[in-house]
Amino acid sequence: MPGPVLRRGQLQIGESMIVIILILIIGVFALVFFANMTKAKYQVRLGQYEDLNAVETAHIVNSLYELRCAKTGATEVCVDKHKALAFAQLQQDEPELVNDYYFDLFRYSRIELQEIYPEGHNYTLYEVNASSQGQVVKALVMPVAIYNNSAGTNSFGILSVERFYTRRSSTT
Amino acid sequence: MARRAQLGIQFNWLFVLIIGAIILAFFITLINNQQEKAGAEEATDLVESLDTVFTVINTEPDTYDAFPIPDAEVEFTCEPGLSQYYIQGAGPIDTTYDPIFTPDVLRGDTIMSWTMTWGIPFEVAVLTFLANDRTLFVFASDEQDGFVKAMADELPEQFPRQTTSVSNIGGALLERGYSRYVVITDKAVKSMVPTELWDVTYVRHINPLGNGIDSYGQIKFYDASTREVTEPYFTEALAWGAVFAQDADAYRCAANKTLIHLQVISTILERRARAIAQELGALSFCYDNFLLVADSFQDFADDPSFDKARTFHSHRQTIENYQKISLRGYRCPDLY
Repeated sequence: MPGPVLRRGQLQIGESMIVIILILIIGVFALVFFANMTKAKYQVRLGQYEDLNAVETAHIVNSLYELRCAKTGATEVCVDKHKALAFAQLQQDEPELVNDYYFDLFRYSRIELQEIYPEGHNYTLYEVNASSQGQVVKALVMPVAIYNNSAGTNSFGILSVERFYTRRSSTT
Repeated sequence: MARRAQLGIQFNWLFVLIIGAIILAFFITLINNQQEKAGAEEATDLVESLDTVFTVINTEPDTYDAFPIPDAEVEFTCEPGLSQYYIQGAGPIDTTYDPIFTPDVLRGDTIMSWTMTWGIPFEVAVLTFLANDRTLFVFASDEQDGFVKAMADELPEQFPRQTTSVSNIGGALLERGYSRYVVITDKAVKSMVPTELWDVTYVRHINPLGNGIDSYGQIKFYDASTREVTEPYFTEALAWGAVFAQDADAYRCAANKTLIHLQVISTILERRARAIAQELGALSFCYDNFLLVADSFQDFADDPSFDKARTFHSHRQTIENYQKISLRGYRCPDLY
C-alpha cells in the first residue's frame, strides 16, 4: 500500500500531465487553425495571381507587334488580319518554334482569334497543354477590330485567351 | 518517507524540465519554419515583380520602373546555353529570350528598370536595362551638343548621373556613396580613372561610325575584369545595352537574343508580305515592293545578323517614302 505522501505525489504528477496535455491540445488546435488560415490566404492569393495572369496574357496578345496593326491601322485594340493569318499558319507549320518562343509569355494557354463579322474565320494563335485533364481554366474574351491591310477594311472579332493551371481538379 | 517525498519533488522538476524543453523546441521549430516561409514569400514576391517587369515590357516599351529588393540579391547569368536570373529562396528563372542588360549581381534597396524598343525600323524586341540605386552614370564629353550630352538627357531622371568634361572625370568619380560607376564617353579616358576606383568603374567609350548615335558604331569596354574589348553596336538601344551590361561578354550574349526575335518576327512578316502580294496581284504597282521586302524578311529568317539588319535599316527612308506613295487616291498597304 502506498503511503499518503506518495499518493499526493502521484496526484500532483497526474495534475501536471493533465495541464500539459491540455496545453498540447490547445497548441494543436491553434496550429491547425493557423495552417487553415494560411492555406485559405494562399488559395486567395493564387486565385488572384491566376486571374491577373489571364488579363496580363490578353493584354500582351493585344500589344504584340507580331499581331498588332501598323500605326496607320484603325483603332487602338486592332489586330492585323494578315499578321494573324501568318501567325496561325506558323503555329500550324512549326508548333515547336512558336510554342517554345512564346512559352515565357503565354505558358499553358490557348489563344484564339475569331473573326465574326462580316466574315467568319477562326485563327488558333497559340496552344500549349490545352487538352490535359483536371485543369483550372481562367478565360478572358475581348472584342477587337481586325484590319485587312490590302483591302483597307475593318471587321469585328473576338480574342479569346484561356490559361490553364494543373494544381486542382475543379474548373472555374 | 522524507526521501520518497524528495524523490517525488525531484521527479516533478525533471518532468517539468523535459516537457518544457519539448514545448520550447516545438515553438522554436515553428518560428524557424515561419521565418523560412516568410523569406521564401519575399523571394517569390521579388520574382513576381521581376516577372511582371519582363512581361509588361512587351506591352509598354520605353518606360521606367523601380521596385524594392530589401535584403535580397539577384544574380544574372547570360552565356551561350544558359540564361537565367536567380534569387535565394526562389530558384533560377529562365530568360532565354529576354534581352536583359544588367550587372551580374544586383543588390541594394531598389532595382531600377528602363526599357527601349529595338527596331530596324520595324519593332523587333524590347530591351530591358537594369541597375540598382547605387550606380552613378558619368557622362564625360568636351562637346556641348554631342551624342554623349544627348544620351545624358535621355536617361530617365531617376537614375543618378553626373555630366562632366573629359578632363574632370576623376573629380566626378569622387562622388562618394556609390558601389558602381559607369562612364559614358566619346574619348579614350582609361588613364583618367583613379586607380582606387578601377574595380568599380566601367568605362564605355562609344564611337559612332554612322550618322549619329542611332546608327551603328563601336563600343570599347574598359573594365577591371575584361580590360579592353571592342564590340559593335547597331542603333542607340544597343548602345544603351552596352552601358548597362556587366561586360562585353554579357553585352554580346544579351544582344544576340535580339536576333532570335528578328528571326521569328521576320518569319511572320515574310508570310504576311507574300499573302498581301498575292491578294494584290502582279498588276498592282505595290506588288514588287511586297515581294522585295518579303525576300528581305526571308533572308532574316534564314540567317539573322546585325549586318543584314543594318542594311535593311539604311533603306528605311526609301521604305518610308514608299509608304506614302499613292496612285489616284489608292495607298499601298503597310509593308510590315
